[in-house]
Amino acid sequence: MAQENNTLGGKLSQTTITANLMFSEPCTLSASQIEKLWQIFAHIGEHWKDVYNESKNLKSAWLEMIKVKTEQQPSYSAEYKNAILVIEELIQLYGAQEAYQKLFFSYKVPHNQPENETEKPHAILTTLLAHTKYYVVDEFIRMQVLSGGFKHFGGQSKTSGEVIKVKGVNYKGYVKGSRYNNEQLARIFEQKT
Amino acid sequence: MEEHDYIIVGSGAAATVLAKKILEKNPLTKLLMLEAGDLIPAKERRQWWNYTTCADGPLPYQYTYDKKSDNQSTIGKDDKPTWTTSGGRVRAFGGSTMHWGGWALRFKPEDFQLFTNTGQGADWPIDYHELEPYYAQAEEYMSVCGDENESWQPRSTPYPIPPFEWTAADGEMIKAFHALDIQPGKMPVARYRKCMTTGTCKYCPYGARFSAQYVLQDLVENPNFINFKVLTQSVVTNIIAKSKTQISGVDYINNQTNEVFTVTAKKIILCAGAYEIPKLLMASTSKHWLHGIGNDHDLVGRFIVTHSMLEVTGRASSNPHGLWQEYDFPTLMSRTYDSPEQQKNGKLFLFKDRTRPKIDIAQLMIDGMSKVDINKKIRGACEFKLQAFMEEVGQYDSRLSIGEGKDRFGLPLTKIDYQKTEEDDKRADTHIEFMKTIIEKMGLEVVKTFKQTPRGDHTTGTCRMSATAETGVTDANLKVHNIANLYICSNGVFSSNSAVNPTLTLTALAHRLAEHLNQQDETAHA
Repeated sequence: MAQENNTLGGKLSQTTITANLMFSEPCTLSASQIEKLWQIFAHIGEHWKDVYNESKNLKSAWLEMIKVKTEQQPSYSAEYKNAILVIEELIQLYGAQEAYQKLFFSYKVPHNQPENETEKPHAILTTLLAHTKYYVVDEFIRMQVLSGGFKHFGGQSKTSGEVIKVKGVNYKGYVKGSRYNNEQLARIFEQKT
Repeated sequence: MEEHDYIIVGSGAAATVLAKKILEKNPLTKLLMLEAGDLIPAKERRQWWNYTTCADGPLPYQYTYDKKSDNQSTIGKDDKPTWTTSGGRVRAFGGSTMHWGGWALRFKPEDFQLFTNTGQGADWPIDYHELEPYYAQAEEYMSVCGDENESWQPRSTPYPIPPFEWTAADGEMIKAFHALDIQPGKMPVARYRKCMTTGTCKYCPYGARFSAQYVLQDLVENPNFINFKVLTQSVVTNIIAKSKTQISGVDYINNQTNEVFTVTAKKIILCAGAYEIPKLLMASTSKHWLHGIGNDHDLVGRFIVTHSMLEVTGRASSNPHGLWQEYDFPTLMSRTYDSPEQQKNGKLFLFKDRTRPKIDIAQLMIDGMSKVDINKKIRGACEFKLQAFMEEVGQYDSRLSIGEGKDRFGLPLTKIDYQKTEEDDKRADTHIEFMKTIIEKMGLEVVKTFKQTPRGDHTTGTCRMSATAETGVTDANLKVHNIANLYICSNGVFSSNSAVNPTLTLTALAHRLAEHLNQQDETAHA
């Protein structure tokens, strides 16, 4: 049985829809639409603290992602336009700060409970709100983390005997390589001599 | 009908080396390459963003995997197939190096004399020292990075590139290795372009992890190779025997138009992998070869063997340094038990799992966790995993044959009759117990052990090399016994499986075969 959590948002957010990615023709979003989507991305950084400063540095990579996801099939244009409208409704209802707080930390996309234990639960995307969270917010979070946001998490410490290099932390998706020639490619282990 | 100089069936790692070396020697060679799969673009930005940001992280070549429903392997005592086919290979332009991990290890000298050393399995008709110069060429070709201070086997040349260093997450396992007199090593990996360490090796956005597709694309685009052609979606269905000792060509179907074509060549090289080649040989019956080409002694498809992965997972109660796995490949390995002394008991190649400790920060954020709680979780309990490949010996009764029906590429389905021997089962259990001691030495609690069902990634033995036709399918030069112009270059020709990944050895064999063919051609033209 799915865990229902549809108490967030108003009439638009609760509008039912099929689960698949909304069909749309490839198109170029307007500057205003891109700016509104950017606000979602920037608020991710702000709400997880310290990641915000990283957001600003990621705009060019983020723009590339938006471009390829809207201008190539299957296009995300409809999902992005939907997300803009859903967020606007949430902001109207709760104010910006609380709207994002609820969306990021309280709202859970319903998932099914598979009978077979080895199967992963599937998201049940039956509302415009669920689509916004799954196709837009969640993907923006992944993008932000892999593009540099991960650097603001994790431990960095030194124990006696071994030195664990604190510089040079790496993460899946992060482009490091020769960009930073003087840094280690990852946190390395050095044997005690 | 125009006769080609060469027809190569398949377009993967071996096929690409052969095409490159033959064409570089003589750019005007009429070389036709026939690939059943399609061209799947690499380094494509949308695909990479899908892979890294979508919930299910799809990869563009996954649709080419064998379907689970196509599996026609023997069912074991636990009511499950004894051999898994799904996920083990990519059917596309460039072949399975589109999805491989890039681990590039040489076999060791004793691997070539398994029967002499242990009384089990078979010896290769060549030895390590004969293949050694070609290992060096293969490492150069694939830009293998490795540790010049290690001496797991004799080498005439150093690695082309220095190794990836051990990561901080390897530290505790390295200490445990030392405490148990296991020598830690650095995993040699094939890097083709400058690695940007994105950890998305399965679909590298820069072409850093070696893939035959990159080389093949360069060959196709080379304006000097005017008689080189690659046809995709072209399924070879029959090898045409002109006589008992001579092949004239092949039949193939164009999957887009369903037209059937016959093409001829002076020499044919089969590079379509350890599954498809034996099936093609068996399907190619005629008055000259009643049981299929090269199959008079009923050895085609036999001795099929692969590596089963063994795993032991340990749980640490805390992760005070906040470590997570930072590459998409293991940096720590050991070949201490991949040794002549261990050979009769089943060699063991140990490596630290590339995915642990697993910290998915984005998922924790998606689940609504605060930054404070995420940091607590990162420093909280975590898992480390030790994995190993165990060498198994191909058995006569373990065999691959043509299954019922065809897959969506028009290739016949694969039937695999396989049963792990009791001896291999017991060995695996013994190795698992040993691996547990390593995990426990790390101060971890063992929470899970696992013996993987054999999967086809490292399949070998189905057309094995031998000194005589009575004991194998191909000779020391990879020529099908008693046929003048048919060659096989695939993992299928391996006479033993060793304990390590096969691709570097396959690439070395391809370099050797290419040199042999080029010398033959030079002699013929002289």
